[in-house]
Amino acid sequence: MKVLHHEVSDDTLLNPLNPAWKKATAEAFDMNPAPIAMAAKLSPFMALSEDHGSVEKLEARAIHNGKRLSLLISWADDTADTKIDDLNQFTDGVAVMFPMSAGATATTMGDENNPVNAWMWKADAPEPMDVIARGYGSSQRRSAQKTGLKASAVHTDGRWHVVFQRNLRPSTMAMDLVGFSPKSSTGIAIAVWNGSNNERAGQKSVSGEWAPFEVVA
Amino acid sequence: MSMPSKQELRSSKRQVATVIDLNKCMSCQTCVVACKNIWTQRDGTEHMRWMSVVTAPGRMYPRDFEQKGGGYDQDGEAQAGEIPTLVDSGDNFQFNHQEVLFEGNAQKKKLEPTSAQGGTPDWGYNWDEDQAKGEWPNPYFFYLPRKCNHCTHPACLDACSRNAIYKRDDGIVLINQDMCEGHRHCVEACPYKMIFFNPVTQKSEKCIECYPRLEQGIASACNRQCPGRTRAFGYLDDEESQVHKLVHKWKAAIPLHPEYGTQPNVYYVPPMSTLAFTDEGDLTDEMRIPDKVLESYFGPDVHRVLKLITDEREKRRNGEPSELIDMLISRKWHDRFAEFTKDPV
Repeated sequence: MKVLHHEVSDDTLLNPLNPAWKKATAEAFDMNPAPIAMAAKLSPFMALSEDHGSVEKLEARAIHNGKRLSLLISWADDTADTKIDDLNQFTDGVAVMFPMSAGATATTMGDENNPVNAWMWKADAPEPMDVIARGYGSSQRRSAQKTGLKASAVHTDGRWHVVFQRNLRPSTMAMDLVGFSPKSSTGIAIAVWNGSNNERAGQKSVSGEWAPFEVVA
Repeated sequence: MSMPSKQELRSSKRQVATVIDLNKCMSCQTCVVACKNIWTQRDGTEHMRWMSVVTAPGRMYPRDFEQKGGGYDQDGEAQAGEIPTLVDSGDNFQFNHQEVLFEGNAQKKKLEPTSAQGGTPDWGYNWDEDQAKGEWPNPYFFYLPRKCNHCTHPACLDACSRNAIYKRDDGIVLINQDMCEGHRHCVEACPYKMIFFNPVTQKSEKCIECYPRLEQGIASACNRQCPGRTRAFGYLDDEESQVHKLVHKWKAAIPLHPEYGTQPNVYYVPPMSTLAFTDEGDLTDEMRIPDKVLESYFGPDVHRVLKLITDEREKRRNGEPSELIDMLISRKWHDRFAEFTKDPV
């Protein structure tokens, strides 16, 4: 994905349905069930899951205005699972992940020596979360209040539209949060959870290994 | 920052255990209320009965837990499981106390529950209490108290995709509430369905064996409060303790559903059952609870235990000593709790 510079206000871009989003080209992602059998050592029970990963396609657009980066993810989901009404229910969610070192693999969410940083939105959480991981199973959540991450979501006509927005550069103190600079080239991987299909944790749809993600000046 | 292995997480130096004598449990629910008073009055925990006592055979608590999977098969392979619903977990009835008791309607309206999910309940905790099986004149049932077994090979610990579940050196299995994100793989995996999701905190919780009490030498509340003297508690390796003598020395207390493969540490003295009548009303020597029913709960070993207790009881009737029967009679409650006899007050 190429993230082009457009002079659009942060608030405008925080609205997933704003026509300003048409300035960015949509990139289509094929989504597949996360290869969960590989997590058998972490959870032989979760690794039994076979019917996760119901979301098969999504679209991503990204725009920056020199200050903040906005990322719009859109996918088809008939039901907006926004509340846990019973003990066996789960909510919808989406996450975008970036490598924090050259050796990180997306499928494993990094490893001991190669961290990753993801932005995660869940339909029943009032704020999005930063996630830092060194391999799946090790992920730590950090509140958006600490990281300046914002998200906004709309469900309409059987589709979710979710915007993540954050400063291009994190605060100087945050060494484990992703930063973008014009002409920087990195990778992106996306995960989606369909709550009504009992999806959570490793039971999700994933976009696979890193897709190119380049912020253009 | 490497992650601990499951083997490391489940290792412990010692193991506390509970023995429950099913010949004495009368389903008074004192143990249930003791636990609820201390641990599950918080928001989101109203439906949780970490300690429960229901009628067996029956739908059990949580409802139909024996059909909800989890645990391991004979080859040690993990088995998929389901998460019980709020109603399966006993519901959290809301009552019309205000209109009946405080608005002058006591003669006009009945006190009635509404399900936390709305509407008239058609299931609740202990709903099928005292509904016996069998046919007149020989109906049968027994009461089955259950709580987290603090298993030696806990399925919940294996299942947690965040390694948030660990076993302490004293054998108590705990869910780290800072690490838990409420994914509920543990709930699916526990074959006894003794882990409960808190929808307010969005984390999973379970019996903690009253560890703050244990650390002060006070027995777990359910064990200590039982007025029927059904409980023994202590370290399994403590040769002076009743749990050791009942489980290891006499082998008179055995696990529930050993085929689930998790090596539970709550052991049961199986019910000897009331005796059967003939159709003419004569008492026989036969136990009413069918063999197959007992085996379905405790495995085929149950028959050995029942014969042992019967033989030892006969000895006692004939005036001969029996350490086993004396332990089961429990004249002094202190004898049952090993080093955990301190008074909480």
